[in-house]
Amino acid sequence: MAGRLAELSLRAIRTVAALPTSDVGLLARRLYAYGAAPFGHDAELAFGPGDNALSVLGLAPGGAVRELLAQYYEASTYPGWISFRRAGGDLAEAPACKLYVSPRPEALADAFPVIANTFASLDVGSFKVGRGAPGLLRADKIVAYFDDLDHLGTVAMALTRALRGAPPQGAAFTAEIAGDGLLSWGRDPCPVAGAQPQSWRSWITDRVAEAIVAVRQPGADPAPAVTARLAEQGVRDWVTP
Amino acid sequence: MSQPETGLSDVLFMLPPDAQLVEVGDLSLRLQAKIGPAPPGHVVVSRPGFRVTTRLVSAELARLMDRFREPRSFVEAVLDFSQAEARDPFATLEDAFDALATLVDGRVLVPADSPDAQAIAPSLAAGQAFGAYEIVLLVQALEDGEVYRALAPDETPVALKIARPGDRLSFAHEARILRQLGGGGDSPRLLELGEAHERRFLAMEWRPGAPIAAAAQQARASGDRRRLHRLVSRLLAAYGRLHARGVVHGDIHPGNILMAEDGRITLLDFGRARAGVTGGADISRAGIAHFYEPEMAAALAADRLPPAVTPKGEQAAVAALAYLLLTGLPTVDATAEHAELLVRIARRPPLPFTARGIEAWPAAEAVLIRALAKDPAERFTTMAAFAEAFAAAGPARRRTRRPPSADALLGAALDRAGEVWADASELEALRLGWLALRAALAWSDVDLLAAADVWSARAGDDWRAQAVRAHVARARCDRSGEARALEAFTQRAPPGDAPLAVLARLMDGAGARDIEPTPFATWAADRLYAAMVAGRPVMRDHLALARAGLLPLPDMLGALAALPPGAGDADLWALAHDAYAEPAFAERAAVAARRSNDIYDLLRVHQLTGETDWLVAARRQAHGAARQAPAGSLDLGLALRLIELETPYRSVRPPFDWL
Repeated sequence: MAGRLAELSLRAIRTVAALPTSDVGLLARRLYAYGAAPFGHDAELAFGPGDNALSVLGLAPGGAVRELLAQYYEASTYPGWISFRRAGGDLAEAPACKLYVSPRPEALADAFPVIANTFASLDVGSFKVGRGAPGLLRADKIVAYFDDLDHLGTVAMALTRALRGAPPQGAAFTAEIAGDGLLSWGRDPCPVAGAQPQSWRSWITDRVAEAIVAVRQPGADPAPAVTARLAEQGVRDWVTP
Repeated sequence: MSQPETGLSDVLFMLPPDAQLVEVGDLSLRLQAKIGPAPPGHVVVSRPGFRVTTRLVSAELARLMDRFREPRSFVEAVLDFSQAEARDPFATLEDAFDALATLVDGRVLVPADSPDAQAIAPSLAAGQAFGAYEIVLLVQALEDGEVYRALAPDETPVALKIARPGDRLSFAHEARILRQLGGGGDSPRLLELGEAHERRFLAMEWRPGAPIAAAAQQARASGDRRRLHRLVSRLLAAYGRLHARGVVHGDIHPGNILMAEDGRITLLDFGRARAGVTGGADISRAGIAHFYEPEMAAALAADRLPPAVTPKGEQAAVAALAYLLLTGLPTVDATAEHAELLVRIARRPPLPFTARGIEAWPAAEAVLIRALAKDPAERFTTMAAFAEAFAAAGPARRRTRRPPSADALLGAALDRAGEVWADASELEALRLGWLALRAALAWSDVDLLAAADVWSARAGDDWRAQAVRAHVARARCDRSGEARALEAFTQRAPPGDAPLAVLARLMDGAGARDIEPTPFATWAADRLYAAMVAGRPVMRDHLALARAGLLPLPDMLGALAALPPGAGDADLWALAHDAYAEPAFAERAAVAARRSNDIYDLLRVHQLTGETDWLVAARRQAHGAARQAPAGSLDLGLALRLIELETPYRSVRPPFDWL
């Protein structure tokens, strides 16, 4: 595995494995959240309380991005997200794949209008954006959904060009697209009958946490053993087997 | 303030149906934090869509106001209330009269037969015809009118400002000002002043854009001071042009200024504008207190009629807005007590950016301080001169690279393959946790934040470990983790006063993170009381807890002033200055910092005053120590000092005896 996200994922494994606990759930939550930017005084002032952060994205009333998206999408708010679904679109209930777009928080004011414009012009059916400061500090802050990998590839290629120079944050445990961590993709595992459907990052961080508890040894780097165990389960390059 | 215009017994007043009376304890924790400590039972009164500041009233007054849910005269309401509460009605009327009069002035209590007594709701629907126009959407609903986006007969978008049914608002004055300005520049072009469906209206050119506060927030979130400087320069230049045409706006607040994508400014709402030289008093003046010029705040605080708006007064108001756009915060600490806020605006100088935890911008701050001078004669001669001075101040240069000395020390401390990582004791883990957290915040580094999480988890379970864990959880946006650590902190804190200052730091802004402060306030009050009974000094802890919003601000101004020369350290005097804004306290903090030459004291005084000399002294001291440190040695205290110097405007002393 190579690339910035692969390195980030290995650092996540090494760091989280150093936590003095064998609670798989807790380790999985730390792995899932790995890569979120710190919430300090700067972020508090930058994003403000609650939905003030919409202004940063250009989504405040009268904002250019809001006006643009309103032409194509219907928006719904959830506790941690704002979701946009193409008006009149017929996206499948379980999209085939998803694109993670991960600019650093300080790049959002410039990057989000570009991303929104690309999604609108390339007919992206559905996407979501983290809500409030916590949502915009997380690594997987913007996720777009696709029915086929070709469409995802087209959008990713356009974004690679349009976002050149935007500082990446990077979503750990996702498959690198351009090498700098700004864009990556994932595919949710097939739902198991009777079980709650799981997102890719939730599924993989559960497996990594189990592997950490099973293989870590005092004084030894846990990353090789964890990735070897995942490979046995068919996970390579952080893509669903 | 003016008296209610009619009699006490013959006019029926009422609370409009949409007036809200909400006990402070029932507000969201974020709003409670914003309001600060309020006496038990105090109630917030507000009306949606109203520009008047939300008011805080006592529980008793709120119960009396509740009598006005049905139309009542003052006398009827007071009699009802007095009977229900077994009070003397004459004394009640005397006590409550001024407060009721203020509520009438503020249109919170309104004559029952007035249009104000109706709840505010949009009166027109999308697609509905209004005169020659087609309504598209409601942009804003206020107490006296509505603003719609609409389509003209040729389908060009227009802004329609429509008086509420039955409202006497004529818009003639605003139309006259707009005509004088002619449109095409910084104000919308007037299209029509008319009347339809027995409602006066004003049709204006539709100008695209978002409120300027949103554009400023984008620039601040990007850390882009060049963009912020450009934005504020454009704002000031627009007001410079307005004043040059002999017009003062008279209603400064961020909602009245739009900024388009191309940076074009549009000034809105000229209903309170004045053309030509004005003087004397103006009873019609209103607005948002944070943007009052000092002379208006002083007049209102002294219960005098507000002065008419002047170019110099507006200069201060625009400077207050510029300060808000640059920092995201008002020029003085907000307080829910309206009278106290007026006094602060009238008397206190604007806080240095560093006192707000924001990097100093000395050139821009100097320009704003002059424009905000309490004496109008000390301000710039014209708005244009203010705009020119600000444009010349230029954006501040920012350093973004990590200094090699701090990076090397941090690298050694946090090297996963190194000895420290493998063999750290709980105490070392505690220190490393704090070090990694401060570095993560200084550089917005995701890996350092994760390292801080690991170290704090390995630091044992005592109160200090819980304190660091709470700080780390806060940085991770882990609200439940923070709440758990805070609870464990209070359970495990040793007897004595040492944990109080640590708790004050932990609870800073906790309300905004939905952490219920009451149990911690009770815990702190009990400890503080025990310390007072035992005769231990409590001033510093009391001020720190008040600053965090856990306890009301104590009345210790006299006691502080009476302390002998040389008493108290820089931290005590800095806290005292934060609380009371007494220049003498800042001076005593400076004297104490000079005496101690402690780097954290030097940085605290830098934050307090915004003066860079203190920062230079702190840097000299830390970098001197770094040069003298033996090669390859690992001095965590030095590493921490070097990291704090990265963001001196929000540096903090470690929360306990760190080394």
